[in-house]
Amino acid sequence: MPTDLALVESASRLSLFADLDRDELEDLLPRMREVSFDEGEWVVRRGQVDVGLHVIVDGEAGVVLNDEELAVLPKGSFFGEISALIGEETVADVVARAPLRCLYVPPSEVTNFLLASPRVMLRMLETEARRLRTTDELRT
Amino acid sequence: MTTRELQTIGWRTTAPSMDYLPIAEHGIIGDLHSIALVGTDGRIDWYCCPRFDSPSVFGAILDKEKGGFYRIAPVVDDWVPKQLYLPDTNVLITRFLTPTGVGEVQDFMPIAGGASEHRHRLIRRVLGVRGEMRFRVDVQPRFDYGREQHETIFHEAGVLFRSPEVSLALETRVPMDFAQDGAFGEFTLRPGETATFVLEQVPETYVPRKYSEAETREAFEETVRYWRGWLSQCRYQGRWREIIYRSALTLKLMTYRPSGAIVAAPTTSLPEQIGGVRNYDYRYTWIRDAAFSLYALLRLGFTEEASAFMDWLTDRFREPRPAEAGPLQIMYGIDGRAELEEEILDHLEGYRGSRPVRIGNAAADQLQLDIYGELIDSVYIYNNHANPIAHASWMELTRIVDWACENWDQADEGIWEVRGGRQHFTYSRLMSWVAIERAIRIAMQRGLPSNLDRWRLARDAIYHQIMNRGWNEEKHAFVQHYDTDTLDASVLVMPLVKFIAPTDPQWLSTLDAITRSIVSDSLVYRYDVALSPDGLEGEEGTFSICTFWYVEALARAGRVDEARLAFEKMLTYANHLGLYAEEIGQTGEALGNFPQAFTHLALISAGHFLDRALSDRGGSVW
Repeated sequence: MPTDLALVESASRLSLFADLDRDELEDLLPRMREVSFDEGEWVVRRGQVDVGLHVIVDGEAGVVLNDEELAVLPKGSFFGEISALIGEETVADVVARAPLRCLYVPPSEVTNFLLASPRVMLRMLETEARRLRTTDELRT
Repeated sequence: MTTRELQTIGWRTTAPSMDYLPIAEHGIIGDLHSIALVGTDGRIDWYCCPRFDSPSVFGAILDKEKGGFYRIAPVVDDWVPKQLYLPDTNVLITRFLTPTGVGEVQDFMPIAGGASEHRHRLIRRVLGVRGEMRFRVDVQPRFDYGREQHETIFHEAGVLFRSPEVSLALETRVPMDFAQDGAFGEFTLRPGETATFVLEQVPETYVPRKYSEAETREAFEETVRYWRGWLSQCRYQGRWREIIYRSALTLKLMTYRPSGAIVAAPTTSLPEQIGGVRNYDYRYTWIRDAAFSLYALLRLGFTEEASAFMDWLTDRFREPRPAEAGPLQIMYGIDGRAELEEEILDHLEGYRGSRPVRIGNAAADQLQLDIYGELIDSVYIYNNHANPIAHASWMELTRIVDWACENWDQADEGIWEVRGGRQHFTYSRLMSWVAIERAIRIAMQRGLPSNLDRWRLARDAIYHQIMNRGWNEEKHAFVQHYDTDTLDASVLVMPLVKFIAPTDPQWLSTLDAITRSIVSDSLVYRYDVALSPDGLEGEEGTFSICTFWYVEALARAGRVDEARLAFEKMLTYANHLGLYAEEIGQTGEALGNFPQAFTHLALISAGHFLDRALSDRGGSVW
């Protein structure tokens, strides 16, 4: 598959892929595909199980629960990974707040995708740890 | 849709293109390690990280295209800016007024308290005040004066700018997007709403995190507390208190806390003439400027800075130097290093095309004999008003005085660091006299060991030489050096250092001659460049420190009303925040590095003396 240079360039700026050199990134990208959503379009609905990993390349998404926006996910953020890893239903909706472009890994391929690049997995773990800490801080 | 139409509806496709702001259209914030210049357009166009003398990250003031900047401003163009300091602090507020709304940016750099490790943070807090206002933030770092490439990495809670030497994290809740080699974002604020941007030097693997509003508020309040606590030590209660306080706060911003060193100015290569070549790096510690700064701060009651600087100086005394070079170099790096190799940054066009842009300073190797006078005068003041000099420092000092007694009678490059060859400058001799005279006073007062007989002989020999060879019979004035009839503003300090009585006829005629030849509407030139080739091309503006010396000399000569008017006129040349550059151009514009310690310390000194002179005679006649 020919390499999409613009996509490599965009992906190289995202935190998940910050530790990869260009060759490694070009090797990894074919495992993902590009998906787009219009502003206002639902990306994930609460209770869905077949979500897959989404990494935001452009635009921003809102995490919504019971009509309340809990968080805004900007460029560089990712979502859908927990549902894919543990095979359970998603617990919130995700909506495109602006035209949204994501790199997408289908749920069945998420594990192999992460095993193929431990440094991406480590970055993801760091972010999860931070999210966990923020949640704890909010609770206390 | 055209770009203009897109802008009108509040959407820009690229970073707004910007021209150079006038030098005076800036405020300054800092954390006693470095500073940032914040323009009235909300743009930071000078910031070196992590230290004053580190390479710039934002340097658009030296090249609007390649230098890099960090701007927060309304999306629409038709705003009116206002800028002020939160009273008695170095927290800067830039306000934007439009017919439909008002918003402001609070800029500050937190200062670590106690023993906690200093974090290099630059915090910008944007507030909605009235109506609704849409802002755009553009962060375009250009590391190493624009010579180093960097990566821009987007994280959930901000952006990491990673270069080989320095990495900066921008932490914010505002979604950011990629633009050129940086990031931008847009956001709308209503009254009472805030958006915060924390830029911090971080390790290259750092992941930006979400700052809470409480955390930002705490940093803000701590910074305000720090500056107000510091200023509360000030003893000055006289006239012009606001601008004297501002000068003190500005001088403090120019101190490097880890070593106690004081920079001459926190910028490099802001030109003495637009398009000119007199562009130098002032981000170093000149013995002369630092000694004068110390003197000014001590006058106001700030002793902590004096102690820190004395320790720094004592370390310099102890460093071995070749005998012929003198015990001290004229300037050092803020960490005390002696090598300040000068380099020209060819890739930068300079402020409004004023090439070259220089970093480092080739004048470091010059011989300037006056520095020993300024140094020992400040030790004398320190000994009297702060802490009596310690044994080890005194023994080092006697070595310097002995050297001065041996070496005062030689040509040097002088206070103005001329690059046109060495001369026997009157000012250099005068300050050699001060060096030995003040050392004699300390020795006498404290009964400290010294070569008093030898020192007295040298002191008197210098005195007679200045009276004979520094005096020009034709001009009826003391002149720049022994082989010229050019007048020079540096001799204005003769009565200030008590070399000559301020009402001595020889002095009064010198003052008149200076007034006639190098004073223009109470502003004072250093000397007549055309009459006194200094090895450099171009013209220059009036030199602000000279104007303040002139004020003090007039006041000491009993011409207090004249002095007061000159002082008040000089105050009108400050910028909207009370800041001065090195020089003032023909139409009142600020020229040269900004802000400049020399100018602010001379303002404090002149204001202080003038206030006393006015009070002593029982009030004002104006």
